[in-house]
Amino acid sequence: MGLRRAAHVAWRRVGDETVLIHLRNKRIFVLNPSGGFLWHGLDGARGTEEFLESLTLDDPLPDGASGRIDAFLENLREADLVEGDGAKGDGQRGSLPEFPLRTFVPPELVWQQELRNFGQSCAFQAGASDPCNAVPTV
Amino acid sequence: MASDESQLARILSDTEEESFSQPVDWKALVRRAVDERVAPLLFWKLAGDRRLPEGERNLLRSELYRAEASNLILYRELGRLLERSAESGLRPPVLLKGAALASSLYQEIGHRPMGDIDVFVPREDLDRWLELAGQACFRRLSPEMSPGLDRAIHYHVALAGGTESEAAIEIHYGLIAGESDWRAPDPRWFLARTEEWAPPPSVSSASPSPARQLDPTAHLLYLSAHAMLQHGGASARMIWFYDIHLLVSRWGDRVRWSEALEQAREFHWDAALAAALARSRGLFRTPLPPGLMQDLEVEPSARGAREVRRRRDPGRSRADIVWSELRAVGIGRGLLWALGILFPRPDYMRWRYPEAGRFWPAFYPVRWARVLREGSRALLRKRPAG
Repeated sequence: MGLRRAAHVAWRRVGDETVLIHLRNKRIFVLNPSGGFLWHGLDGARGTEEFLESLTLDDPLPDGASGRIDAFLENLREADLVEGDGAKGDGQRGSLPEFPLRTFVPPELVWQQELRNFGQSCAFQAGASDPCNAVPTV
Repeated sequence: MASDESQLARILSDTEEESFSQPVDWKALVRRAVDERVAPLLFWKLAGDRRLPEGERNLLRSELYRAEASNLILYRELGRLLERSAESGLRPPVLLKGAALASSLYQEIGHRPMGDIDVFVPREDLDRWLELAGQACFRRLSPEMSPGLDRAIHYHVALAGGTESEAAIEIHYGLIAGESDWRAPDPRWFLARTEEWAPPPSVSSASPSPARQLDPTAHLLYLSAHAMLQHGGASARMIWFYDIHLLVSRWGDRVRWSEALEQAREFHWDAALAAALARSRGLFRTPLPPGLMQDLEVEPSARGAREVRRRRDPGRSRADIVWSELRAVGIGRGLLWALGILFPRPDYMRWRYPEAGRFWPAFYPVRWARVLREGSRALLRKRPAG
């Protein structure tokens, strides 16, 4: 089975980037446009070869493109963002958007951070800050 | 040098060249943007600007991703709750403030940070909503201080939990204050002035369960009262006035201004509306209909104007705030509340003083001493000098 997006990851496209949130460890990951393209295609039915075939580029693929995709998928796996074994997929493929760039740019995780203070709301900290002082905890 | 606040406001309202004509203290500006909850917006406005130093750029970028991820989680939890409510045949709830506006008014949900999701439901549906929220793994954040006090003086129940994350949701059955408080409007007026709310596309399922949001007129009134009468000018954040600015700029043609004025007067909210619009215009040059501010100045509600002034005072103590809340709910309920403060239930004491362990009863005198100390200080401050 090929790699697929893990169920404990939520994501959203923001501009040309894709923001992922690992719901268990509350880490945020941001993918560049190429990474976002691959992410959307990670449905358990594609491996590196299938991804390479789906690229519509003006220029020929540079040497090492396959290795860069493998490395990216490995990064996703290490970060526990994907599930599956990475072998060529045999499931049903979902539709894949067009590759967003005309030349090959390696897919990358361009940003990582912890989601700190999630749920920081007056509901949790009444009396702790000015905006929460409408009715302070007494 | 222009103040951080005015520089920030100019950048957010796309008149930054004016702001950049003066030296910019980027560290202070970014710190202020984070405090005022407008950091993601600031990043969006300045992402391509080379004047923004690298360190501050990264900080703002990080704030955008944080808001994006937090809102994504909150909307997922909301989606689950809405599914349950639709299945159980409850009327669609009305989303308030950020929960409604982040997806309907802002270009990107991460531009409008939220700490929680505010859901407004008819009072008669509250018990069913609480039951439903319990099924979705939400629990009350704090025990009631004394039996029946919440419904007598409060207007929402704060919940924490969820299926995937520790999210915060507030279920409102009233707006800005409890029903006995003079500031509280008739919730039915607001529940009758709603429109369909569209969830953010990539968060929702293919057929999202329905929810509503206040129409622009009702939302403008609520946002103004929330900023000026619930929190008060001294602690109101810039993002709340940016909400108002965007609402008026983008949906101004759908605001029924004469109805807004009439209703603001009826709720004693006219001074709050005037103050919120003036603040929004002062910060962001919000385009207001000609003559509106003059109309709002004609015989404003004295009570409302006094409260807006009082809440502008940055030196208000906890005791001042509690005292003004007690007065606002009237003598009977104020007394009930005061008794609740002095003699809360054991489960409230255990929640309020977790460090006390089994010695929680010893914290009753601690409370009384604190009430006495803070009350006396507040009284002494009020005594005229000399």
